[in-house]
Amino acid sequence: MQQIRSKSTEANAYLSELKRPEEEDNVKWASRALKDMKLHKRNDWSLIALIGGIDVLSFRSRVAQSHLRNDMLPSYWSDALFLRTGANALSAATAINVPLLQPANGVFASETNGVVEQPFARFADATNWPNIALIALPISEEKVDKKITDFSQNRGALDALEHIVRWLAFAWGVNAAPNPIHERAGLPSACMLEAAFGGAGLDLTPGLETRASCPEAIWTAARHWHDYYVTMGKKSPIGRFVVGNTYEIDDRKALPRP
Amino acid sequence: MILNARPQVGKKGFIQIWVGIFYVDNSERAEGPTLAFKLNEQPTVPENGELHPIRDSKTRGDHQPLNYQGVFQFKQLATPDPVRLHITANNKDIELIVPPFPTKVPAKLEGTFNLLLSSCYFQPEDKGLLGYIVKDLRIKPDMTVLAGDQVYLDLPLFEDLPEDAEGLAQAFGTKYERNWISDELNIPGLQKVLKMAPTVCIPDDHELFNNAPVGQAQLPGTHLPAARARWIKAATGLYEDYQQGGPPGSAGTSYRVDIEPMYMLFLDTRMARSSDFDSPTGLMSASTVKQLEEWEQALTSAKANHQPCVGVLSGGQALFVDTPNALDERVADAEYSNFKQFRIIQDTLNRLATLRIPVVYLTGDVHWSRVAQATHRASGLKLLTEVICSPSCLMRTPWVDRSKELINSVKNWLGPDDAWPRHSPPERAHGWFGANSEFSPVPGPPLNKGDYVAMLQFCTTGQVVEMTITFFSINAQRRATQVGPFALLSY
Repeated sequence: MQQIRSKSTEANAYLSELKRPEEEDNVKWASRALKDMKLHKRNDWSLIALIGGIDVLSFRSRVAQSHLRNDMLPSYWSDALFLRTGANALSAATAINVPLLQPANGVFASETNGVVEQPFARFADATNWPNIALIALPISEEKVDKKITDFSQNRGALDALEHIVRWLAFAWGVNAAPNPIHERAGLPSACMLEAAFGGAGLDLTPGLETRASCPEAIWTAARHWHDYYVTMGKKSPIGRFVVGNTYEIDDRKALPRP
Repeated sequence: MILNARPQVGKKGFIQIWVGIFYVDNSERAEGPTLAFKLNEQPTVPENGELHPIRDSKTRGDHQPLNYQGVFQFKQLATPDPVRLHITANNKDIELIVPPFPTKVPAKLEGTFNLLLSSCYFQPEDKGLLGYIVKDLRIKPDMTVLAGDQVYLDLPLFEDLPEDAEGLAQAFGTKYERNWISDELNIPGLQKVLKMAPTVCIPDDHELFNNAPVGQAQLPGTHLPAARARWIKAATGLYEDYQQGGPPGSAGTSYRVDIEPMYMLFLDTRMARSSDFDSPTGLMSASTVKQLEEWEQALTSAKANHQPCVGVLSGGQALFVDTPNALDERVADAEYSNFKQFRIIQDTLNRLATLRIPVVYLTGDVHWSRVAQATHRASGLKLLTEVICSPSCLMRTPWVDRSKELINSVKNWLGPDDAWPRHSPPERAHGWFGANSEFSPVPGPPLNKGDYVAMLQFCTTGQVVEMTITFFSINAQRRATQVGPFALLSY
């Protein structure tokens, strides 16, 4: 996959870790993070959340994205959400994504290009999703929201269902399905965000084509492409994150002692 | 009488139409028929434009010209809808539906700017497929680029062409008629392609003759300087009249089209070419070089103002190809890299890449298709993308092609045959490009062998321009091969 390297020499100082106290769920953590971010003119910003799960499907998608990291370690993130807040509290927000496992009782996925909206509170469980990043991007929620509606009605522009099928085939090991990342097929939720933000005028992952986006690429862009946004006359992304789960991989421990 | 019209890419805010009138009556006045226009049913007068005799030396009984052409411009109506342009000449009338020409590349999810790329069209081999396939493409072009060899004036090989200027012009004129007004003549041709969308034509060698202006052994009419000059004069007149149009001598040497944030320049690197490859003006005229400089300046200014910008450059020959040796450059085909003046183009591309401005280069010529990207060594970024789409209908090489077809028919008995037995295998981009090897072409996606047209689709995602290319095969299979998308970012 072609990636353009950022010219920034340091990581985005506005994207920092915010530790999670015991027993704090993701909604409460995100609410605290949003307060901590002190967004000026809240209506000029959109919120997305990256989440990292511990189930096998999440593990498969996190490992698949390791190819986008220099250290080749699994990504912290397995999915990405657009938060529709209406400038209200996050506890009342809904989360919009294109889940790999489509709801059985929803409308047929082809009607919505796989786009699903559900209460953000569904992702509250910090045991299932111990990793979360809340990222504010300098474009109004209303603009992006409208583009998400367009995305849900326009399979021709980007068929998210094709991405779902490819990722499920890879995750389930169907017929030796290859890592979709190697075929420039991104995780569908990230592609939705990429298309919606891009259509509204903001590059979520500068230099990466829409169909190849994934949570790790969004994370990298938020951390390292802040100079780009400023150069283009926009504000730098602001965010907070907490990582409660990494896989125990340590070369130094694993290597035999001399 | 035949009345013919096609849209051209013109000045911003104008509808530009090339009008051709053929086989006028003996009773017609010397200036040609009087034209009348209506835009959306309202009688209208063009901002400018008039008819001129086509320089094909064809005359009526009274020695007046037989055929005419003209380029007419109308102010674009303030409507987002297509306009109906009605043209009348004597008792003939035709109507063109002209959509508004885009001024900017649509944002993601709002559509795409579609550019049809086609080249190398040899009419005698067309069974009518090109026109019908292009007309039915599922993606409709906003603009068409014909990247050279729209006619093969020097083919078929061993054709007994007249030696006098008048006879040559008549013979060449007949070839143009077959390609340009094919629908009216009820034969295969380019007319359906030309009518699909506003078109830009740039020339390559067969607008004159193979490897022009270097004389060719197989073409007696190019051996001696005087004969060669006659040939070039007749061919140039017809190139100007059909492919560009307007008053004689008014044809541009390059064509600039800006569709924000894409800055496009279509270069004529053939009609002013010299047989002295080392000449400082061997490849391009001074005005072409000036346009190249202005194009570069527009891109660098946009970059300096932190505006998104992508360069699109088009010429009649490829960039990432090997340099022919001293014999081949004369006997077969010279490439750009044989010309000293090519350095100007190379240096321009290098300077743009140094500023991290991506450029897409469009061409035909080579009789195979591919998309290749080159890494700019200084930045490590893939900043130069070459898109080749060639041919749309392959020329025929006597004996060689027949033998290939015979071998293929034997293959057919033994197993699967080759769908394109006469076409050469595509070449992979390799080696280096640039005066100081600043670019390194990298192996790209699978390559296409056969007759193709390509549709390039562009949309913006924020500051990025996304480009997807679909090659459509010109045969019964109508195979579509998609390449990309490519993210083009100036940063």
